[in-house]
Amino acid sequence: MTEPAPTRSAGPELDFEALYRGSRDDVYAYVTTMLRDRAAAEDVTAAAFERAYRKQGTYRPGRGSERAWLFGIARNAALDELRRRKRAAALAADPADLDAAAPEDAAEAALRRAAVRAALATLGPRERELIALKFHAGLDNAELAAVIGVSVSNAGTQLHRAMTKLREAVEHA
Amino acid sequence: MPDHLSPEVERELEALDDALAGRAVPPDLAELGELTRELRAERPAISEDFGTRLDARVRRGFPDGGPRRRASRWRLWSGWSAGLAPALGVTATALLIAVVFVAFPSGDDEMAPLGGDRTTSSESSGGAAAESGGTEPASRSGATTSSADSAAGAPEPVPPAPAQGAPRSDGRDRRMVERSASLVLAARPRDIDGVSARVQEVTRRQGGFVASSTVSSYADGGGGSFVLRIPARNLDAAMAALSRLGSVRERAQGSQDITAQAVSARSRLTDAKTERSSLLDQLGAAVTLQETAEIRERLELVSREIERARAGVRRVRNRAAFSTVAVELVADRGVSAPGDDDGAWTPGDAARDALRLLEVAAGVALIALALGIPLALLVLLAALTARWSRRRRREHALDVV
Repeated sequence: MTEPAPTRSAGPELDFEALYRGSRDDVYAYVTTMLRDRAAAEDVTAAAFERAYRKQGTYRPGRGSERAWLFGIARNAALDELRRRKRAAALAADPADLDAAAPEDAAEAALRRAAVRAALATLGPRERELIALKFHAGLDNAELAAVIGVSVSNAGTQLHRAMTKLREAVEHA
Repeated sequence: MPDHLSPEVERELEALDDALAGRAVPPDLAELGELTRELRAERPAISEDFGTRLDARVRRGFPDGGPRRRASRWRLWSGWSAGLAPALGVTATALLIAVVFVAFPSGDDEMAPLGGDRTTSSESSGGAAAESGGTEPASRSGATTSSADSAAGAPEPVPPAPAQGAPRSDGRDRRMVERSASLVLAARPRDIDGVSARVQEVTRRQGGFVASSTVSSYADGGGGSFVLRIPARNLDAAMAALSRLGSVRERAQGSQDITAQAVSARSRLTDAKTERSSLLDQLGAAVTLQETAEIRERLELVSREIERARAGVRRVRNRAAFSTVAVELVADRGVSAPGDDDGAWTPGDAARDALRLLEVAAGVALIALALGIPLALLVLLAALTARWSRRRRREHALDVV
């Protein structure tokens, strides 16, 4: 990711190149967690950036950060893909499609990560989306709230609930 | 959902942020920090191959669009075209009707020539109508005049009955016809006086006279009305000359057969003369003074009857010899000066045409606006509904497991 990305009719507020550089991996991680399909995630990630590239003139700073705007587009693209496939993603349903645990991991750490994956599988799609946005995409709570269209405190409450449920699932795993 | 977070929740959320940022978390939340790091470690990583390809596409500015985009673009166009086709059809039809309606208004104007000139003619013969017709001009003679306005609803004209009897047995060569006409002229307010003078001048030149006239002229308007008596043989020439004095708004001509009235008047005169001749014979043969006095008294009455009959004959002849022309003069700022229109297309004509074009365009725009605003509201409502529905469907995708 060393090549500069051009800007198209770029408004003074949006630096698409910088946004792409800083968000490419995060968007991919989020979309992959949502779709549970790397090939589809690549298509949706590319489509999301293309859509953002073509619609960059519609970005309004007053409505949120650039990342929140970009992840809103990525979320719509991912949800459209989910609708097309008529199935929701389940994080732990296809562990082989995700990064496999490194062989050099200690056994205890490997067990711990397997427990986390199993716990993630128990979450509903909305909770998994919150986890993906927070821990895989790296959004702060304000950006997360803007992406899913709720208030910051509401987003914090939902995230806390999802984490509580996840912790309980990990303990029982 | 509460609008505020409890301190405990806020503390745990801060611990999450600290752990994600690599900062230390409180000891009692160490397990949460560990879970955060493990979740972060589960983050899917982008493949080098895909990253390189995506970088290249971004660098080129997504020139190809890709199959997904092309397909979605086609779906978008198909959806819009299918949804908007009826609305566009209705709008186009309404606009077409509006243009036709504004450019070619119905009703009276539909029958009028472009210049606003309305010409009517009528013809009637004898009978009771002839008695009441008098010297009224064509446009005011009521039952004796049929204008183009009523032509649409009037029955089809009955063709004349085939001629019967010997040629000229109907006495057509002796028939008397009264002709009348009316004219409505428009002139600029400042031309009212000039046009009035010319009306009288034309009347004199055609051998006629002004029976009555009323002219008013002031800064912003004015008008006039004239009743002219024009020799019947010069009526057509007079009407042509009068029509050139201003913009013709309405023109009507009519004729009425008054042969019966002429015959009647002549008969009364002949009868009276015959009676007087008889009385004169009786007077020559009278022997007594009383007889003579009675006959003389009777002769006086018959003489007065003869005078009345002669006057009647003169009136009828006069009606046939002179046509009554009613001229109404109205003020209108929009018309050209008399004699201006020589057939050439002048800058004034261009300005009037442009004004007319603007009027039509404004009318069409107004109608389009009247149609467009509700249509736009419907489209906006449909767009908002579609957006809301799309969002609902997207969110629903997260509920389907």
